[in-house]
Amino acid sequence: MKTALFLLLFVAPLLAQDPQRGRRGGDLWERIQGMDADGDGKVSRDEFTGPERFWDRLDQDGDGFVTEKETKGMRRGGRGGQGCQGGRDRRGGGGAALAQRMDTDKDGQVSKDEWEAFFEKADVNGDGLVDRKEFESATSGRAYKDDAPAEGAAIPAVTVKRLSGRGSVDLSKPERTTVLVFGSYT
Amino acid sequence: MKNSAAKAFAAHPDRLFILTADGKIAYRGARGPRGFKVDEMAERLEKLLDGKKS
Repeated sequence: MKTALFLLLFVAPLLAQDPQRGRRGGDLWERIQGMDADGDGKVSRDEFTGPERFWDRLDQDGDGFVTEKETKGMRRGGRGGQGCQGGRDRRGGGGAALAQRMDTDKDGQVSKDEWEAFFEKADVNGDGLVDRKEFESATSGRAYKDDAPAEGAAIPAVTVKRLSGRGSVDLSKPERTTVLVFGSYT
Repeated sequence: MKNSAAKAFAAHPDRLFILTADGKIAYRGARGPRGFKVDEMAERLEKLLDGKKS
């Protein structure tokens, strides 16, 4: 009971519908449809030419495409229980889109299971922490970008000190095939 | 400690690489702990060393 009340109090403001937006929503798909360059009936992220900040609000299921159904969902306010309606959050910007992405059964509420499932998915490396890059990837729907040098690429020019304290090693110039192990040890 | 190596290799918190004498990255493991796979690295290392022998 307390959990349900908490979810309503927390999620309802994020999903509150903007009445002004609702009245204009009828022609929202008409405006976006014009961006559908390949004519597949949906607008991909690459096709979208609108302001970047609107994408998360439009792509409600986070699949990388905006469909007419999603724009209609924004206009009507979506399904849901008391106080939980789809739409734009004036204060939180992408908060409404985030909540809707987490709400996988589309009942207008984010359950504890949905919350934990979102965390597991966002935690790309499985270390029990969602760092900024993982969070941005999870909330934007964009693929996680790995910054590590690729196989076949040149080794980064990094010099590290020897454990003995005498001299250093240039990792980019190994004398022989070398295994580099990064990690923590207890 | 500036952790410059971990930053340059985007290795935090755990990661495996194989570096070769020609200055290239022969193996880049996924970020750990989920991607930290010693068996996978070992298999790649064996193939690499076998290739050098032949």
